[in-house]
Amino acid sequence: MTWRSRIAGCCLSVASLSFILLCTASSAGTSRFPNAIADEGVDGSSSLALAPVDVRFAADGEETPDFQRHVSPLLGRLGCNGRACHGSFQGQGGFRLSLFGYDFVSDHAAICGAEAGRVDSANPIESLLLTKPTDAGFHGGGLRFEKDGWQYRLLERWIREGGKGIGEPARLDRLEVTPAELVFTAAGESVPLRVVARWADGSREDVTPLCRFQSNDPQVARIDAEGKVTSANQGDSHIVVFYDNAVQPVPVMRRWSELPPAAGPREIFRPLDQLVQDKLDKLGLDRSGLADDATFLRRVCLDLTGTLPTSADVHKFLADPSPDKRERKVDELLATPAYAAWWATFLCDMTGNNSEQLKIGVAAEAFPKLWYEWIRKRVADNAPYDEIVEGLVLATARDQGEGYAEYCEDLCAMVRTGDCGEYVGRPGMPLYWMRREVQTEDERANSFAHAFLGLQIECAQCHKHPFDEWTQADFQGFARMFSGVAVARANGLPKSDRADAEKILAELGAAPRDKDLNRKFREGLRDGKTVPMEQLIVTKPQMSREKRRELMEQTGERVREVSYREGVLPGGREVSFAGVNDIRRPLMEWLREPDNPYFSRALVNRVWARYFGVGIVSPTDDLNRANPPSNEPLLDLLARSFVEHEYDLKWLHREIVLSRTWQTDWQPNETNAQDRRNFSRALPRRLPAEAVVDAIEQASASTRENSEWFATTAGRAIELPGTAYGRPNPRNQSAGFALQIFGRSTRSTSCDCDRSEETSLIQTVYLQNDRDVHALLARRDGWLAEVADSTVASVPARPRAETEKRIRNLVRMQERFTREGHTEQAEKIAKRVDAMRQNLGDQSDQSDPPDRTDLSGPIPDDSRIRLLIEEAYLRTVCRPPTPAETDRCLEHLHEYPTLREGLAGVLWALINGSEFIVNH
Amino acid sequence: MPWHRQCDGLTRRDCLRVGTLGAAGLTLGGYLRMTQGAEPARRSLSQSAIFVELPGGPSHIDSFDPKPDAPTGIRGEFSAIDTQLPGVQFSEHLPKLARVNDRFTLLRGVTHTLGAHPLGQKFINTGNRPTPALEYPAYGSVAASQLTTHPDLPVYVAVPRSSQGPGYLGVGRAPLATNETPRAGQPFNVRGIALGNGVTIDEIGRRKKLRDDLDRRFDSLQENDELLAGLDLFSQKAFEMITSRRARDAFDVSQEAESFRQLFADDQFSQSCLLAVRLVAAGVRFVTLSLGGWDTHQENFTKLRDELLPRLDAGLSALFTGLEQKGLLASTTVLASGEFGRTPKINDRGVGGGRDHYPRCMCMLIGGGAIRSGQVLGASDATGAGPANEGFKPEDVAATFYQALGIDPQLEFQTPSGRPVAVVREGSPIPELLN
Repeated sequence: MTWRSRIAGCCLSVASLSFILLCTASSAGTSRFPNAIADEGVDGSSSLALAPVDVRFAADGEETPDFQRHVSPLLGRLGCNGRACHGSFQGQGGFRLSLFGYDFVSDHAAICGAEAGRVDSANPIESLLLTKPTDAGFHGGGLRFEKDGWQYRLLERWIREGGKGIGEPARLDRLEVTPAELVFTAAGESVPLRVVARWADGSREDVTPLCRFQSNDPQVARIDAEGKVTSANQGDSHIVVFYDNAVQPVPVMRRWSELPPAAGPREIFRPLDQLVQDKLDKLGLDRSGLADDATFLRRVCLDLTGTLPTSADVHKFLADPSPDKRERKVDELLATPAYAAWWATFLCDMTGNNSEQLKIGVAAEAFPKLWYEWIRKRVADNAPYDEIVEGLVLATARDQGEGYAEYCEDLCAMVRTGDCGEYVGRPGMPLYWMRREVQTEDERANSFAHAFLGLQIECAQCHKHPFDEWTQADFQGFARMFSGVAVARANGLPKSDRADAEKILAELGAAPRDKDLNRKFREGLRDGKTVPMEQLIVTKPQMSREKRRELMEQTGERVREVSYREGVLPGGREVSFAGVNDIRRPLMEWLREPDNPYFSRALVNRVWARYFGVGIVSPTDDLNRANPPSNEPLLDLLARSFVEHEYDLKWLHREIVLSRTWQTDWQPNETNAQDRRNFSRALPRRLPAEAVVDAIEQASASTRENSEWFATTAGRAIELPGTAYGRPNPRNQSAGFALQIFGRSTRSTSCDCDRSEETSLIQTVYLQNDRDVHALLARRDGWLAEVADSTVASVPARPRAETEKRIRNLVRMQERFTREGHTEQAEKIAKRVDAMRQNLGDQSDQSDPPDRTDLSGPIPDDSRIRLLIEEAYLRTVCRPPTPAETDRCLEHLHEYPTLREGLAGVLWALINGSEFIVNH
Repeated sequence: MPWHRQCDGLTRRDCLRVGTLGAAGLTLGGYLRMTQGAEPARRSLSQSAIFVELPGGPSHIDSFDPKPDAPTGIRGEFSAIDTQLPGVQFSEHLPKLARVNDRFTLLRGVTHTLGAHPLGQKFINTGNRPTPALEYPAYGSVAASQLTTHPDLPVYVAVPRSSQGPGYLGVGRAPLATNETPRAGQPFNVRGIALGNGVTIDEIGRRKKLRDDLDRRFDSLQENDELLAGLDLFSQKAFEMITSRRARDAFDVSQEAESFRQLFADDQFSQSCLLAVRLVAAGVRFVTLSLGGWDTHQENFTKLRDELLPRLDAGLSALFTGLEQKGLLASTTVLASGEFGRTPKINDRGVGGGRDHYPRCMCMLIGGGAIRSGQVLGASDATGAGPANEGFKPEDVAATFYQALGIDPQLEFQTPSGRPVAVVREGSPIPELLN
């Protein structure tokens, strides 16, 4: 046997293994097996599972097939309820089944209803349900099964026994799939799967012939309709089994190499490294080496702050011999304003801070800004993630005791001045619920599931979710959880606020029915008056006005008010609304439950994906059952530890960036060049749009501006609040253009794909020849202008004294090691000291006053020029150039009459290189 | 690239997985070059298309659907004039279009229900009723995904920009936006294409050489990495576009013959129309133009008479005439539309009153290419309050537009979240519109 199989918890014996093969042989036609067969449960218990239907119905018998357990899954397996066939909303040939099944009532009616005429109970074999699929000429969908096959017999017997539907659906506990994991060693090996359904009533049945199967990556393994898996290329993925509402993934892999795990001790910096290593060992993947200091620094600055290190940072970091410098750098970055700005942008992407949807009343950009600043403050203060979410989820418009007049007054002042100060300090921020396009309970459920659960449940709005356990009823139950808040516009205020509103209107000289009310509001606001504002109010759970309107539009009929009494949480738990004041509370409590399967996982997975370019679950907003994590123990550990650390975001960032896994180099080795999902090497990622815009500006900034780059984030793309692009930056008026073409998140559709990190032609045209880029390079207050002005030092002074001090310390350390006989370490240090001395020696040239060389004239070929070339490298790719690179740049410089012109080309060439635009 | 599935469980077939390509002896870079740089496809009915956005929502009654017999409070200040087609009248402020309306077909009684600007625009500019769950692509982005042109030209250009983005098709299908409009008789410098700040072609060439020599760090990775292969490919293609004469010349309207330029008025919209003709002639496959200001809640008649209608009249008529003179009308489909019509009833705001948003009844103009021209289809009722009969759905017009461009409106894409979606979800081509 060339493949190996394992099941979780217990090893499958050779005997039962061959039993499975025999069992599958039965589906090929033999039918000598008894109707019940012994097998071994996953929990080790031995119980009886009903033999598969293809055995039981191979010949005539007494058993009556069940609509839920047999008929409906069979139609699914045969493809009847697929999108192209009867599952389409038109329903081919007037026969419509629910897409992907699980709507037993309507599916039964479509088959057996008096109008349907698809079964003939008097003469079952004349039923359309049997005659159509067995007659290719007669059936648009072609031949689905043979007359007298088990499928035929099953359906025929079901019709003969009355074609009964079901009441409440029976609950399926789980699917047990054997083997529970597939490990292949060569292409072309194959193994059949066997699936046992375990129902809540304790019954068990082999349902292999009734399942649908899917391979998540046919490049790794294919699966046929009968459940036979065949291996292909190296790699790992999952086979997914569908039956009833269950979705069960089965890991499948083919090792990348048969190399034994690399010899010697593994570098394990953090607990997560072990789990990554375990998976690599299993796959025969060797991890790439540790990234060098320059690579680390650029990557850590970009990932933690969306910002490149300054050239002085690079110098300082490379010269620093202390062993804990990476850790110190991480702590230093976590305390910068750039960290708060950048990760607030991340949370605004996630929660959907969209300017277009926040045009509330007459104000425009004030609200996206409030949203952003509210989050930024909490990121800077390192507020726990669950508290940030609570502030959004449970927000109300007004502080306790605040009247409507006061509310309007304060908000108007904020809109007018753009100063969010006081609001940023409030515990809640209601704008999450006030977005214009997210007002029906259905949209809110979609948006909430995306943001906080990392789920796309939209499919289940109309039909059974194809990749998860969500049924349409589940969706509706969940959506009701979002029916307890509404946006009250000025003309829909609660009674208690109306007197205040009338007073405000009177002071504006306006009446509620005025036609140009908006103009009056706009002008009033401008003139410093108070105007009525929309507010978020908690209501009793009821169908939203917006959903009613939608239904009326669809049906053309009047829809009356509908009150909701209970909602359903994912997983099926009902929440009664009786006696609950604000039904968002139970929702928030559920998020916080320690075993919530989504809340913490969704966040750590998204953060992880920002660091690795790919999530442990990918895409990151698709945590459905059919899309399992590439490394379950890893995701589990991170999610659990994040909760244990009380949702401490900085803890999470540190844990990731200080791991060996994240600090792995991008250079592939013999085994891992093709691996993209196990974190065996760093994947090159295109810089995010904001970082592109800021980095070009930073690279071209004056020495002084560049050196102070981390002091503030004012006017930078990483701190843009909403999705409107009027950036108050005199140098780069149209940064909005660059942000759009480089794919800054549009925050428009509850999808992580709203942000794009793809490449495109327009992006390269921009980098090569956009007027903004040319202008930035040529700007008067920029670095190139400064170079041309020979009286200014265009290379930051090296921290010479600091380096000298470090050298002294190192020498002492070296002496101690030598004394104690650790010659290897002593030699290493000696080498480092030599390098540093060499470096210092080079710098001594610089002690000449810069104005001694006329940099505005022809290019002198001396070390000053080499330093300028180095400076250009540090500003863009954040490493010193190799001697060959320096020589090539020198060659280029000598083609020009002035240094400035030549150096512009060097900077341009660096910005246009992939090393610049990629985080690696 | 994340591995997505379709709703019915099929895996994506067109996924650029290196393993497959490697096995077929084709490198990723080679594959991308093959797909991105191919010569123009010949399968389409029309070679090119132009979409003219009229944001704000033009009043149908005061432009293409006059109601001279309606009561004063509806009829408005303008009288109606005869056109090239017997029995068809336009507003008196569209005399030039009235002379060329055998070159296009006017649709009256187009109807929908979205009365807010952003929603209406999303609907009309994509042919799909907007939903918060999905951002549909602009027509041009779909065209850019299906059509090709010379390697040194962009497929899709927006003058000055498009209000609708590439949606689920991703940033790779965004237009090259000129951000500005050409000025009459002056060389037109387009962002990204024109050379500025003293940078010459020679200079770009030297810099590019330096860049290619220096950018070697990831050479070993390139074959296996879609991102790096893409960067390399696009870097070459951008350079070709910037340094070839073709692209720069295509944008430079001052190179048109004087006699031809004179067909076009000096204002921004007419000059944009001139640019569109020139771009299409050069091989650009889709151009989006824009003429805004139609949101005439107040002073409807003054604004229409003094500015909006004369500009539209001059620009659009010259667009059709210009395309025809260059022999391009038969291969270029033109669609012009705002997001909705305006209320028949005149309000009392500003001098002479205004008209408000009115999606129930509007007009659209479509012509050229595979469109059967010289007719008026559909009609509104006596007061322009709604379609006289069933009316046309925006989806159907969109489906027709795509069909004319040789793109099957039922063509299916997969959204980034794995959902299959047709280019036009609800519509089908209007048979009377197609030759």
